[in-house]
Amino acid sequence: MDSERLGWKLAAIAGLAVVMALGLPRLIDPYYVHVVDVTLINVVIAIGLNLVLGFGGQISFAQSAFFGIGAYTFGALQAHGWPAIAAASVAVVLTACIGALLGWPALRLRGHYLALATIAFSLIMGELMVDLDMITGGANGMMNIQGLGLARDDIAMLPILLAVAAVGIGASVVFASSPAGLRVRAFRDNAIAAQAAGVNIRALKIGLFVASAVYASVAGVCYCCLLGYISPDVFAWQTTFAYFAMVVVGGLGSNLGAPLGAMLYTLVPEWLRFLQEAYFVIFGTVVIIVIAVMPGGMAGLVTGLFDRLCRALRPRPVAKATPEGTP
Amino acid sequence: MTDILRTQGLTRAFGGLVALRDVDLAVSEGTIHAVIGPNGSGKTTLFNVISGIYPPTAGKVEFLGRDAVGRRPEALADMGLGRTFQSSRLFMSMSVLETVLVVLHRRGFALTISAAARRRALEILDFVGLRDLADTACASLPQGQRRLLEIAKVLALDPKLVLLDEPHGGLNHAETARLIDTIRDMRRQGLTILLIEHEMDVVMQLADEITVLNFGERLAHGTPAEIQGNEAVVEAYLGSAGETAVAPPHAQTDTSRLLDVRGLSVRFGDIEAVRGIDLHVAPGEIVSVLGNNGAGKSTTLKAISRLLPASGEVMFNGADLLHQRTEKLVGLGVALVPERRRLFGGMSVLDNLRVGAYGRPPAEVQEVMAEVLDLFPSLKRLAGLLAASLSGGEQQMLAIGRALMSRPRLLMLDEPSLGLAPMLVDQVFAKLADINARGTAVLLVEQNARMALAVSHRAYVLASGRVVAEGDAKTLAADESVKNAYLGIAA
Repeated sequence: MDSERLGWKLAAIAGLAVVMALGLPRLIDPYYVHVVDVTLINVVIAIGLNLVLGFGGQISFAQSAFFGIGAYTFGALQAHGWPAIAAASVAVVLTACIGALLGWPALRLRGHYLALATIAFSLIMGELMVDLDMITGGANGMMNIQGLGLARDDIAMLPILLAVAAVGIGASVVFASSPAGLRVRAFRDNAIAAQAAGVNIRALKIGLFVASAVYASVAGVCYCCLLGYISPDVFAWQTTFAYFAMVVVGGLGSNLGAPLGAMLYTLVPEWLRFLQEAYFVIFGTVVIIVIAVMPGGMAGLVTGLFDRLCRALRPRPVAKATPEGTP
Repeated sequence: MTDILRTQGLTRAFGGLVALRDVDLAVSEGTIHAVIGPNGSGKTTLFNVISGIYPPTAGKVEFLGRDAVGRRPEALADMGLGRTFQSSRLFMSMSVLETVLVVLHRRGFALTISAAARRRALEILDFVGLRDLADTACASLPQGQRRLLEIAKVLALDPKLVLLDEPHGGLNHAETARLIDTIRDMRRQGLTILLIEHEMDVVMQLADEITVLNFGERLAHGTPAEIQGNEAVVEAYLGSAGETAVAPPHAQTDTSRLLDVRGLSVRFGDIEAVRGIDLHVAPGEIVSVLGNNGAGKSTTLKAISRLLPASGEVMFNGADLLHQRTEKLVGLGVALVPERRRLFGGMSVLDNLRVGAYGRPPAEVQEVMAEVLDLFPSLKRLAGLLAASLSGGEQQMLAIGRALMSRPRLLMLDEPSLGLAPMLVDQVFAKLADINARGTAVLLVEQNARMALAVSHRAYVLASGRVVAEGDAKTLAADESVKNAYLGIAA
């Protein structure tokens, strides 16, 4: 029963990706294809953050740093002539190792302290991206990253990014219903009870940081491939709050929420562009309203409406027959 | 018989407070061993040290012949040391079945939940009697079933030794009987059980051996018969041992209505937890609300004190409480002692009391403080300590004291005897009688029907959210059918 539902979910994700890959280039103009590409990169970052923040309940502001480490490692290795596949693999593995190293001290930290430690980490990494100018190109960043040779070709990158996002979401969906996903929920619900149940919560906590680092570094590689250049402001520590907002507004601990949050955060600004500066007021207000009135975030709203729709469409023979059937 | 668990000179200090001092304990394989003692005697600390949650300050713990000190709780759990917690710690986002599955799948890299684990989980749920509730959310389980699920969780570890910390806290008679059967079945299957328990009936029925702790030290050790005859134990712990030592309530003649509740209803989504309850309390009266778990007792109290939205009418001294904000209630003369006390743990005893008189002129606060400390002399000694560091009994006294600081005309209490040693239960009820004798009306929700009826003028018995019996406390206490059906007092 459950595995059947899992199969349907994965099929739906793959199907949606294929439909978007085929349909979008025909339906919308090239500029918006670029916006969709950027959105997909944010979806991958947000899904990764949701693992540690949503499922694990661990406040992490390290996502912008992981994103940057992935992108810069890929860019630097390519500058030394590494092929894309090799550079990407090393970038992801290196970021994962740094994720594990961050996870280690995080074992002793919780709540606000963990939040502060991860902000500090993002701050340090953001500074290093500027200061290590031998490797990173300093404030100018890196130009002409080879990538897949598709830089600035938004339409060609679309199916690739859709595939990456679909695999990323799919993996998170599988994880959520797996025994390990159940253990993470147990850890979030009650860490001491999880320990008493024999769950190794240290391994889980480090694993969550590693997983979020892997997603962010994959997004970093994708970003290099899409734009062909990087500059440190994209990975500045302040941007980490954007990813945090995506996950919270989308719905913590929901595989639907993180993509919805990323879409809201990336697409809505485009629609509201004509408002210029006033846009921030509108967008900020929307975020506050979502947080205040929707406990499950946007995902909670969507699944709530979906459930209601299902109930409205499904006939209820027993409940209806009694009051009307007896005159 | 070999000892499955042995502690030697076990000591645990928290700063200057020594919670356990030099405790030796030996639990033989296949037995049920009970640890009893007054609140604050170190029982739960003992469990926490044995199960690896805190390291001991000194001493040894051996489990299955191996040194257990320094091993992490999850490693000990995996070795076969299972434990439950005093206040159940369930995974609130999970269903009953998922809770057991996560324990069965506590290790490994499987991508999906195995059919074998699912079968085993259902077997375990069947054993504790929760199979029909497999798909229910943990958060919506009543207390009794939470306790059973805690046991199911432990059994999923396939343990050799099970530590049960007050497994029957908050259970009624029928649920307790079921729990005792389950624990006996567990032993029959070869498990060894170490048990913290306050209810002496339960301990005497179950235990092969008893260890008594007092002020963190081992006071006595022996068979149930030996312990019952041990004078030191009787003095430190058992008190009047079941015979209610409380004076009957003073004569009550005022028939006016200080609190008058009519047609009170509370809904949680589709469930109507309280359905049209009428009840009243006269000035100076003690009234109990009794009934099984899930009957709607606490919900009624919370609705009256505006902690839950409700419909109906709650007239107090001429004002309808349902149209007041919760914080205004205190000003009107209603005070609530919530279930599990809800003290401000990081504040000192005196500060907790001061908060109870929030907004009153300093001179008056001094005066009420003197009154309250007069009523609870033990709080004077503890004045500067943090509330969180008090033992259960002291916390209950403080919670009542804090409520009295607002000089209420009506004091409402939700399960004041929960988790208290027999002697302390006597003390709490005696205090309630004292408070009442000074003119404060009391509305009491209580699981311990025998004690509650002994101190009350009148009582209401609830079942499924309705009043099924009401009347004079003495009459109700004598009514066999009510006792058997709802109050769980063995005839």
